[in-house]
Amino acid sequence: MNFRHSIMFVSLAFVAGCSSVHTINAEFPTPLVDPLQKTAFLDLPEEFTTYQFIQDEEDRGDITIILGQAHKNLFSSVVSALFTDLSLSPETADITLRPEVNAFQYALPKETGSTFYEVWLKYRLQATDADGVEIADWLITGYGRATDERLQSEGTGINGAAEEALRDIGTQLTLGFAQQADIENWLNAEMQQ
Amino acid sequence: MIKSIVHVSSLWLLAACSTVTVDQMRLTETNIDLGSDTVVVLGRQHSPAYEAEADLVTCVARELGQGAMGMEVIPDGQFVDALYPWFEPRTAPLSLARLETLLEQQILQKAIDDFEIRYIIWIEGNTETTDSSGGLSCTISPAGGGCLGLGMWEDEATYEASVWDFHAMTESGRISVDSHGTSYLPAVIIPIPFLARVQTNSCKGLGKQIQSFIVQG
Repeated sequence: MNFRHSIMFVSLAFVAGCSSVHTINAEFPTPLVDPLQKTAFLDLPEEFTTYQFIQDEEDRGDITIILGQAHKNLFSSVVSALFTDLSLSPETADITLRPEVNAFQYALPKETGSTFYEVWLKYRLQATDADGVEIADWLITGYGRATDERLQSEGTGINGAAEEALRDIGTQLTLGFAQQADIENWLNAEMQQ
Repeated sequence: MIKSIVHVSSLWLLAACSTVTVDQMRLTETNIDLGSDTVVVLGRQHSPAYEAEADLVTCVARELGQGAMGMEVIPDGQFVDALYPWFEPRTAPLSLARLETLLEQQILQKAIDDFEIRYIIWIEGNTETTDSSGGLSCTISPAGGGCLGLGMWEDEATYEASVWDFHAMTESGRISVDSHGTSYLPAVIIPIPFLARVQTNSCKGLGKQIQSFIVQG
């Protein structure tokens, strides 16, 4: 190994030491709820299923949080429980749901002076009928925290908080979906037809 | 010299113990069939101020399952997942009246009945470091390294368990535990910790008392 290679190796080691990549690989339980007698299509675009939160700030360091698979698991689980049937295309579904990530934020115990890692997630959920006409446009905010245990890595804390935040999104989606005014109006209109 | 070191170490070991006080308030009689009934231990999570540590909740559940009065304890994760999203931080019932309202949904009543739950035990509280003093300095040099000094800190734990009778839909009683202890970290070249196991002792005290409370009626 010559001098130039040594410098490159040390530089790579330095860069690796300042950045971190966390993959949230959570699975979620199927919600215990009476399903709506409707057929739904869950539209998950590629930018949603491959979503990564990438931060490059001097005072917080570089961090990448890979969330795509986890929120795909969550929405698949919740939507399959919310409706009696899932459709493979929007044309054959009563309703199409299209989620997108609106915001991702996190806070570390050393930043807040608390003993918790915290994560906030905001999703936008668009619902359209079989003709593509908008039924509802809903913003859902989820919050999760994980206790800062002794000798626990930062990654474990962020993963735990993100998983809790996703569960919170699932809770609100499950229990709040039919309560949304626009969805409620649509359901009532469908019942009258 | 060795005798002196052993003597001093013994003093530190004695000093690094904790005191535990357990109180109990019974509201109704309890009755459990250890052969068929089960219990579940859940941590309150609706506010950071009341949130019991996950390992404390697991420890209390383990204590309840041990010994001659050991009972079947449903793991909290299994229970919460099976009833998702009804026992999440945002939705978990804070009162029996709220639980009764939730159980009007047949799907939820059946899911809980499948566990044959007799008692739901809610735990809230936490362990925190209330004071610390002393100092420790460590150095590393090409010739070697070492530490010198004495650090000490005081931990205080306060937990309260509320026992809900799922059959009678009443609160059977409350058990609380207060524990405190001082830990020491003396260092002469190598730091040797003498830890007061405040949280562990709280768990054991709380677990044994809940077990006796439920079984001995």
